[in-house]
Amino acid sequence: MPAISTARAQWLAIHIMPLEPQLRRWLKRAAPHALEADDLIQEAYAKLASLTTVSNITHPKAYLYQTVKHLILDHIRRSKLVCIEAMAEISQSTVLEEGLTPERILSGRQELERLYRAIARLPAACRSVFLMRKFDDMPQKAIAAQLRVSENTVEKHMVRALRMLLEDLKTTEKDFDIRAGRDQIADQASRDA
Amino acid sequence: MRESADTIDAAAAEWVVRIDRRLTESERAVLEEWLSADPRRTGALARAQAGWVYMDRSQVYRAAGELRESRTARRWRVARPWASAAAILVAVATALWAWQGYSRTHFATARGEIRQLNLADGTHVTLDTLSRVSVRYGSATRLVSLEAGEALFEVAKDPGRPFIVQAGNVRVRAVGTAFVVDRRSDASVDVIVTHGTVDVWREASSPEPAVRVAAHKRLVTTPVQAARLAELTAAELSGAVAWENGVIDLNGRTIGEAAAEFNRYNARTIVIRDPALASQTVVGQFQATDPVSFVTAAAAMLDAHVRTEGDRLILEPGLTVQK
Repeated sequence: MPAISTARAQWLAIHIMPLEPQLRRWLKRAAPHALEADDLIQEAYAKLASLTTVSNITHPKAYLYQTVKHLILDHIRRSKLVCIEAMAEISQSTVLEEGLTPERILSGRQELERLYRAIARLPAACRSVFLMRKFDDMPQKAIAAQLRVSENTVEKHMVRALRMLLEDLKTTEKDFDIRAGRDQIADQASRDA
Repeated sequence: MRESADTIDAAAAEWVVRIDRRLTESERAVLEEWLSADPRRTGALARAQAGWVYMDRSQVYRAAGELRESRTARRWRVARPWASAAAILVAVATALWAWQGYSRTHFATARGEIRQLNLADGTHVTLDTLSRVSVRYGSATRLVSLEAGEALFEVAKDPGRPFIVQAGNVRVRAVGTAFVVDRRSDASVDVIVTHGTVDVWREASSPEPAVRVAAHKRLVTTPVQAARLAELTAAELSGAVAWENGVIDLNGRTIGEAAAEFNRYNARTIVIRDPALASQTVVGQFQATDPVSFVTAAAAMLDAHVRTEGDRLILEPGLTVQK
């Protein structure tokens, strides 16, 4: 595969993707408003994809947050109006911040449950094509032949399914409310301090 | 005008699907060019490819047949409590096992790793950190030897073939149930039953009668003393199996015990020399692979501070601020 190796894609899938929802919440709180979480996350993936090796990364979460922090600082430095306050805030906000609150992580089973529901939400045609490709391991060409549609149609359904599922991976549905509440409390505490 | 992240994501998804059906030479060149224009595009493509791989996890639903049925079903039931999904898990296990290859009988986890094994009969084994099992399935018995560490067994029913776990000379037999066997460093063996019942006995020169252990009970067997049976509260029970989710549950445990627990999972070890500090009890749930969060929270709670020394996180009394 061009761009990144399958091994790297697997590493990202195992170690980074599950961290996305909490990283997005952290960015919402900690990053300057001018910076979009989606942009920063794309840039972070680009950095992680271009590393020669990831075997030396023993703490992917800390590494990811550090990478994002550097990206934010770069943006602040490059922008013409350097906001000292924002700079100080990001430099001081440690990687630990997110981890300070005891957290439940998604267990393998919950993760599967989430994927399961996400697939269930796909439009019927997309879901059929997705299942044929991913579960039956049928090549796109064979799917097109079986469904008597053009390969182009199969491709469109696949793209749509992938996009919807990728969108779902941005957030967790389960503990969102609890976390949001806690984040508010943390924000309040930092204002009070 | 800067291209939006959303536009890039859309294009990246298209590329992943095209890569999946193999790119033509000219497409390959177009992709190279597309990528070179903005680093965010490489990131979006990497993310989409990771997502593509991530979705292979949904493979496990293949055998469940649920989604397959839904292709024709009009209505889709979204909420599906896992408690009632035992049948799915059994089927899922079969599918997973098919992936793993039929010949494998030995399984081990590295430090910090928690691994789920899905055996041929639909039995589900979760291996905790630094654990090792070997599996021998015969026509009359299903034998699993826990050579080190701790494992949770969710046993598929098969009355004709009892499921037996060996841990040293301790034997645990189940027909269809879920239980944890923990070979502790002091050579004792803990059996915690979450569902159903199991029989526990020791293989010795003089045969011992088996002890029946029901759900919500813990049996501690030591090499010398008689086995001790204790009732567990719901909270204790969920704490005892919290590791299955990569979580360390610190319900009323001391900081010292908690540190020892974290050190089982991580290369970065927590050191607490002050006995007064180590004896404080704590409550909370932490990610097993994140000792830093734990010591930081502990320090904040106990007016202590954390000093880092190489791979060691040293928790010391006093509010000395260290950057």
